[in-house]
Amino acid sequence: MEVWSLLLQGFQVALTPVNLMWALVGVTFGTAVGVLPGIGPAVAIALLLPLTTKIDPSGALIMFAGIYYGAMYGGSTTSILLNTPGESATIVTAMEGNQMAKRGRAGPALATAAIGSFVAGTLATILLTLLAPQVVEIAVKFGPPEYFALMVLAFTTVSAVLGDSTLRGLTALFIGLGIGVVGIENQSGQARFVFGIPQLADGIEVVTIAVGLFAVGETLYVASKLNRVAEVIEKIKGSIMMTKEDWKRSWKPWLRGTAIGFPFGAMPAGGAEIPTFLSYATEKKLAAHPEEFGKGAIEGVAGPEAANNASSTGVMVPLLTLGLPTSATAAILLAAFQQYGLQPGPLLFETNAALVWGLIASFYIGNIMLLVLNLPLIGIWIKLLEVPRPQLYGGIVVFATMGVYGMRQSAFDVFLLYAIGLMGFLMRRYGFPTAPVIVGMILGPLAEEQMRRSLSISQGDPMVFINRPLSGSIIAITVLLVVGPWVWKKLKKAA
Amino acid sequence: MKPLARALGITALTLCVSTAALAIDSLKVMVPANPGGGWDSTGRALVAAMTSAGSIKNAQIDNKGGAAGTIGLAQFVNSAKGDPNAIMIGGMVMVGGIIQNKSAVDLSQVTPLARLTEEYEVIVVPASSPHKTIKDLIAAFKANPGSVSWGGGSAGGTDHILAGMIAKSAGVDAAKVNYVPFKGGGEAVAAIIGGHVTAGISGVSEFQQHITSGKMRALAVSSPSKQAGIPTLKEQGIDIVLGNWRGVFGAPGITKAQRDDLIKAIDVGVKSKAWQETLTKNEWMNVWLAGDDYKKFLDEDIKRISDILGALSLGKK
Amino acid sequence: MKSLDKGQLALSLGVAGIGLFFLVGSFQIPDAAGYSTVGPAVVPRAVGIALLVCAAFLVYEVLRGGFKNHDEAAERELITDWIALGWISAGLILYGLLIEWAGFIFASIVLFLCTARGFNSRRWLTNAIIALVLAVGIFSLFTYGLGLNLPKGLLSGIL
Repeated sequence: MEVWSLLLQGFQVALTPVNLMWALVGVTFGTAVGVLPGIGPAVAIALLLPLTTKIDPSGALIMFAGIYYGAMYGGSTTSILLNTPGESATIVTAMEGNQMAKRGRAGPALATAAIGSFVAGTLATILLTLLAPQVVEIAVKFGPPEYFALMVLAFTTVSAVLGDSTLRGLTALFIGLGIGVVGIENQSGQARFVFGIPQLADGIEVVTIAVGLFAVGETLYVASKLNRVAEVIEKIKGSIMMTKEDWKRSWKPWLRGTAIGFPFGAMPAGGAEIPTFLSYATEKKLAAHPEEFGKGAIEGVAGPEAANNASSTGVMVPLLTLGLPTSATAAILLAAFQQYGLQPGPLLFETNAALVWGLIASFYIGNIMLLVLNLPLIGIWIKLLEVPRPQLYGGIVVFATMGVYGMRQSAFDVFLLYAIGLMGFLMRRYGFPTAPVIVGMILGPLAEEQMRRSLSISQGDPMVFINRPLSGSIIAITVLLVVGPWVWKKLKKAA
Repeated sequence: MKPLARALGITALTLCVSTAALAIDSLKVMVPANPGGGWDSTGRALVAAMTSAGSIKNAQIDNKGGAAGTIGLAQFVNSAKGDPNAIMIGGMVMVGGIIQNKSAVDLSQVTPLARLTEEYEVIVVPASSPHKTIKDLIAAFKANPGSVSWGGGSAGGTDHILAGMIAKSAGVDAAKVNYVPFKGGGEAVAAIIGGHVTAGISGVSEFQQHITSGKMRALAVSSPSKQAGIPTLKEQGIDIVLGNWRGVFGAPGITKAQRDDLIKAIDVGVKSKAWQETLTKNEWMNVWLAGDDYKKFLDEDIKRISDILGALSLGKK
Repeated sequence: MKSLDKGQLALSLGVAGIGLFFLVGSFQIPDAAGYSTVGPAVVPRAVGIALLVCAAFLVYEVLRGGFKNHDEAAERELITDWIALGWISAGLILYGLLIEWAGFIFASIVLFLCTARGFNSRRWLTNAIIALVLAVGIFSLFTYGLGLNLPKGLLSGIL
C-alpha cells in the first residue's frame, strides 16, 4: 500500500540521529513544561518559535511535536502525585490518580497513565496515518447544533462525578456553571458579572479553579484537620509497577479511551476535556467495582489518560489535512509551519510529503521515547511523596501559585486562587464533591455558546437540534442512555 | 555650567541619533497579550530586528494578556510613566477593546510612536454557496438580513466591525447583522467549509490556503488594492477599506525628544533585513506611519470604530 | 432529636446567597439576544434559580437532622486547627501582595515558610533554604529557559 511506503520514507527522515535528538529534546522539555502548572505546550512552543530560524523544518517540527506529547505526560504526573493538574485535560486524572497515590499506589497510577498514553498515542497515530482524510470529512459536518447535542451528551457524564449526595453534587455543578458565566460573553460581547474588573473580562481560567479546589483546598484541609492525625499519604505499598490485576483492569479502558478521544480531537470544536469526562463516566458505568470510584479506581486513570492522549493526536487530523488549528497548541504548530513558508493542508501532503510523513513517523517515535523515559522515572517521582509534609505541601503551594500567577502574570489571580481554595476547604469539610464544579465550568460555556450559535443561524428555531440528522441522532442516543437503563429495569421487574 | 553641559549633551545625543549609533541599553517592551498571538509575535520580532540592527542592546519583554489588551495598557500607563525606554505593542483590537470593555485607561494616555503593520480582511463563502459575487451576497442580505449568517472572530472584533460597515454601506441597520462569533480561526474555518454559516470574514492569511484549495470562494478583500488576485470591496462599489493594524506606543509623559529617539530606534529596526523577512513570512503589510501622523490616524480610527461599535449596540456608554 | 447544625445551615444559606447573586445580577445584563432569541442573561438566571432551589433542599435537610450521607460526627472529631489555616492563608495573601513589589523569589519564600509553619514545622532556616532553591530553580527555568519574565522585584538589579 502507498501509505506504508510513504510512512517508511517518513521513518527514514525521523530516524536520522539529528532528528532523533530533536525528538528527545522535545519530549524531555515537554515533560518539564507539563509538570509546571500554568505553562502549557502552547505557550512553550510559542516561546521557542524563534528557534525556527536556526533549525531545519523537520527537526523543529519533530521537536515541537515532542513538546506537545511530553506536556501531556508531565501534566498527568503532577495531577497524580500532587493533585495539581497542570493542564485542563488532566483534571480528571487527578480525581482517581491522586486517590490512588494517597493509598500508596502512585506507582501503578503513573504506570497506567504512561502506558495508557503510549497505547492511545500509538493507536491514534495509526488512525491518523490511515484515516485522516476520511475522518476530517466527517468532522467538518459537525456544525453548532451537532456540538450542542454533544455537550448535552457530555452533561450526562455529570452523574458519574456527583458523589455521595445528588443534592450536594448538583449544587456544586451549578456553582461551576455560575463561575463559567463570568466574563465577556462570546456571542453578544456583553460583560457578565465583571463589575468593571478588567481581570474578569476574559473569564476565569479553569486551571485556576482546579488548582484552587484541588491543591489549595486540600492543603488547607490537611493542615487544619488532618495534621494532628497520622500521615494521610501512605508510603508506597506493594509493587511500584502494575500488577497482573492492574493490567487486566487497564487494557480495556485504554482502548475505550482511545476510541472516545481520537474522534473528539479530530472535531474542530471537540476539545480535550470532554473526552476525558466521557471516558471517566464510561469506565465508572462499566467497572466491576464502581464503588471504588472516588477512592482510587485504576480504570478512572487509565481511561481518561488514554482519551486525553488520543485526542491530542486527533487534533493533528484537521491540522495536517486542512490546515485547521483546533486547539491553542495546534495554532502554534501551524505558526511554526508558516515560519518555514509551509502551509499545512491537502497540498502539503503533495508538496512536502517527506516532511509530513517524517512528522507522523516522529509521533510513533516520540510515544516510544516518552514511555522509555517515563517508566524508569516513576521510581524517582514517587520518592517525592516521601518528602515530609510541611515541605511537600510548601512545595505544592508554591508550585500551584506560580502556575496560576504565571498564566496571566496577575496578582488578582492569586487572590482568586486563595478564595477558591477556601471554597474547596469548605466543600470538603461539608461533603460537597468538587469535580462537578469543574465539569460545569468547562461544559457550561461551551454548551451555551453552541446553543446560541445554532439558534442564531436558525433565526431562533429550536427544531434545528432535532431536524438535522447528525444532531438528532446524538440527542436520540443521549435520551436512550439516560432513559434506557431505567426502562430496562422496569421491564425486568414487570417480567 | 549645567545648562551648557546639558546643551552639549543634547547636541551629542542628536548627533548620535542622526548617525543611528546610539543604542538603547535596555528596552522594556510591554506585550499586552499572552505569548503566541499577533501582538506577541510583533513584539518579539521587533525586538529581534532592533537588536540585529543595533538600535537596542537588550530588551525585556513582559506579557500581560487579557481583556483585548486593556489590562496590559493599564499596567503600562501606571508603571512606565515617563520612562523613555519603555514601549508597548498595540493595535486596532485594543481600540475596540477599550470601547467595549469601558476601560478606565485609553490610548490618549500613551504616546503614539509608530504604526508598523496591517493585515486586511477577506469575505468568503463556502465553495458550494449560491453567492458568486459580493453583490449576490449583499442582495441576499438586503432582502432578508437574518438569513445571512456571518461567521468570524469575537464579537466586537475586526471581523464583526467589517460586517457592520458592510451593512451600513448597504443601507441596512448594523444591528440587523446576524453575526456568529467563533473562538479562534480554526473553528470559524470549519464552520464555513462545512457550510454552517452563509459567509465568513477573517484576516486574509487565515483563509488564504482554503481559498487556494477551492474549499472557500473569496468575494472581496478590505485592502486598498487587490490582494492575491481577490478584488477589493472598493472596486466592487463598496467604499470600505479596513485593516487590522498593529503599532507601538511609548510611555505617558515622555518628552518630544525622547519620543523621537524611540521612533528613530524603531525605524532603524524596521529597516533591517530581519524585519523585512518577518513581514514576508507573516504576510504583514508594511504601513509605517510615525509620530504626529500616526496620532492623527489613531484619532480618526478611534472615532470610526466607536461609531460602528455603537451601531452594533456594543460598547454604548 | 439532634440539635440544629449551625455550620451546615450557614453553608446552605451561603449557597442561597450565591444563587441570589446570580439571579439579581442577571437582570443587569443587557438583553442582546439578537437572532438567537436566547440572550446572555438566560443562563445566569437559570443558574441563580437552580442554586436557590438547591439551597432550599439543603436547608430542608439541615432542619431534618443534617446533610444526608455526610458523616458530620467524623468531621467534628477532627478539631479544626484554625491557627494552621491562618498561617497558610497569610502565606497566600502575602504572596499576592508581595509578588509584584518584592518579586517572585521573595514571595515564594514567604509562602513556603508560612505553609510549612501551618504544618507545624519551625525549622525556619532549613525551610528558607529549601524555598530559595525551589524558587530560584523555577525562576531560572522561566526566565532563561522560556524567556518569560516573572517579577524580579527587589532583586531587579541582581538577576
